[in-house]
Formats: sequence, structure tokens, C-alpha cells
Amino acid sequence: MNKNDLELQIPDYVFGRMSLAERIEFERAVESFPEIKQEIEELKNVFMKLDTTPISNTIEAKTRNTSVRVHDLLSESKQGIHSTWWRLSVLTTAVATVVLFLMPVLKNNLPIFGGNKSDSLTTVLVKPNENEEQFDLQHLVSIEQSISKVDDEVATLLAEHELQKLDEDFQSVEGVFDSVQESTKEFDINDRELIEELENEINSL
Amino acid sequence: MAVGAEIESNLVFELQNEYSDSVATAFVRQYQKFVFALAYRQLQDYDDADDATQETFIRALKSISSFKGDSSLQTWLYRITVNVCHTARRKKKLRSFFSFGNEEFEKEQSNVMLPDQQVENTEFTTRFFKLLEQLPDKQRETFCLRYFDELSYEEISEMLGTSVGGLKANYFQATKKLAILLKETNLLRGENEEELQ
Repeated sequence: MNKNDLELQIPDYVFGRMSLAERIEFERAVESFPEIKQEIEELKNVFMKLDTTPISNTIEAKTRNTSVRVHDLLSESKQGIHSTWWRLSVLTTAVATVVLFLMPVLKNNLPIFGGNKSDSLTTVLVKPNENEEQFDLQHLVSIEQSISKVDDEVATLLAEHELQKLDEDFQSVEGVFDSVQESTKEFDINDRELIEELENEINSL
Repeated sequence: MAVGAEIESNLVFELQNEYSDSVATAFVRQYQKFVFALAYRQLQDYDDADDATQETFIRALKSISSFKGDSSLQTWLYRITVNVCHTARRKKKLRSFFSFGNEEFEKEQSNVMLPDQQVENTEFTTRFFKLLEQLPDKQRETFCLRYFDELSYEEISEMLGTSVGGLKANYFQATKKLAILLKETNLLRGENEEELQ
């Protein structure tokens, strides 16, 4: 056995995870490497002082009722409280949030909403005047309302302890928020090129 | 601790063919400490780890029929736990976005009624795992799975997807680093007494 092989076996030796034969062979091989012997002594000194009983006790205490709780949760899920209404309400809220976020832009750019085409996307977002402040205020109010709505929904959902279904809905809400955050970020940096590109696309429509 | 192959295959057979509440309970009790410790290492929060543990077992019991035995039951549970913890971290991130810090207040409240010894044990465990957090992920996982769960290198290799040689190197490095970190703290027996003198 070379020095590197011996080093890799040090933890198993120190923590008593070797068979008698392995132990004897290891001890014989280590005789030629005093620095490894010293390292072993140092590790032994530290780890013999480490009392892991509190860790075992903590884990024991924390898992004492796990089987009962799992049983209860399984029974609940078997009873099958099919509440699709709240799943729909979360999705509806997510869609409403996106619409609220985009409303100021759509209002000013699409004729269907009575928007003025000359008041383009670029001017709405970049023009540093009263319009911008108004836009920001409307934008913030709509964000706050959306967050408040979604927050209420999430609180209700959490109270119902339907974690399995929540997972799916959280993923979809998270996806929507990620895209909204992404688009907000894009607006914040006033990327003229991107805005112009969007404007052209809207105009071409 | 590693579960014998015979015990594990009997358990799988019963879960898949003779399912009952008592078999499910035996399964949960067999692996609950392993799953909880793993979840705690991943999430660093007792309540979150508790939730993740329950979720792991519910998922495992619901999908036990799909367990083909390509890996050990413990490895299968390891993967489910890691996935559940990953989802839990994402959920927590999203919740913190909505809750504006109320959650932290609730957590502080939940420790109030614990007995003194339990509080001490919990504090020690928290501090020890904070030390472990300073190790690289692979080294920390290898150390915990070998030192606490007493798994073989082959089993750990299956879970972490690392060669046995790589695991031994990780274990050695983790042990050395942890020894240094432990010497710098007063988590070791007798350190407090020496400080008082």
C-alpha cells in the first residue's frame, strides 16, 4: 500500500469501520509512515471528544411522530378532498396579474383599447415626464393589488395543507412571476432596441 | 444505518403486495431518521425538514409500485428526499416573497415550549450542522452518509454518483477539515470546562 492509499483509509481506521484483518494490515503498513501515524493521533484526539449523542437525540425527538403524521396525511389524501376551485382561482389570479402588469402598455399601444399609436411604447416607457410618473404609479398600484390577491390565495391554500397540489400551482405561479419579473427588468433598463423591436412587432400586427 | 438486503427486500415485497398501515408504519420507522437528517442537511431548518420528511414518505408510499429494485430502497428514498427538498427550497423562496418575514416570527415562537435538555441537544445539533455547512457539498454528504448513516462506499456511490475512490478522497478531506473546524469551536467534550478554568 502506498502513502495515498493509506491516507484514504485513515477515517475508516479512526472511526473503527475496518475488519480485524484490515486493521492489522493497515497498522503494519502505517509503521513506515510516521506522518500518517501522527495524523491518525490528531484525528483520534478530536473525534473522541465529539459526543454525537445530542445529534442522535435531536433526530430521534424530531422524528418521533413521523409515522403517525404520514399515516394521517395519507388517510386525508385517500379521502380525496377534490377542490379544483382553488386551483382554478390561483391560475385565474396568475393570468389576471399578467394582464394587470401589461395593461398600461396595451392601453397606450393597441387601438382596441383606444390607445394612441403615436403615443408609442418607446415614448410611454422612456419619456422622462409626467406620463412616466403616472405610468410608474399605476404600475406600482397594480403590482401591489396583484401581490395582495395572490398573497391571500396562498395563505388560504397553505391553511388547507394540500401540499401535493400546491406544488403544481406554485410552479405555475412561479413561472408567471419569473416571466413578469423578467419583463419588468427589461422595461427598467430602458432597452431602446428591444422596445423598438417590440413596437415594430406591434405595429406589424 | 444501512438496512440489510433481506429486510429491505421483505419490506418492498410487503409494501407492493401486502400493503397495510402497519407495513407502511414499519417502512417509515425504518428510514425516518435517515430521511430527516438528509432533509435537515439540505434545508437547514427543523420544521422544513420535518415537512420534507413527511412529503418524502407520502410520495414514496404512493409510488412504491413503481419501485423496480434497480437501486436499493434507501438510494431510491435518497433521490426522492433530494427532489422534495429542492421543491421545498423553491416554495420557501416564493413564500418569503409574499410573507414579508412573518414566517421567521412563527418559527421563533415554535421553540418556546421545548424541555431544557431538548433545547440543548437541538442547539448542539444546529451548531454542528452549521460547521458541516462549511464543507463542500460532496464532502459533507459523503461524511454524513458514512459517519452517521454508516453506509458502505458502494451504497454512497449509488446515491451520489461518485466513484468509490472519489468518495474515499472526499471522506478523508471532510474528516480533516471537520477536525480543524471542531478544534476552533467549543463543541468538543471538555472544551467548555477548560474555558471556564
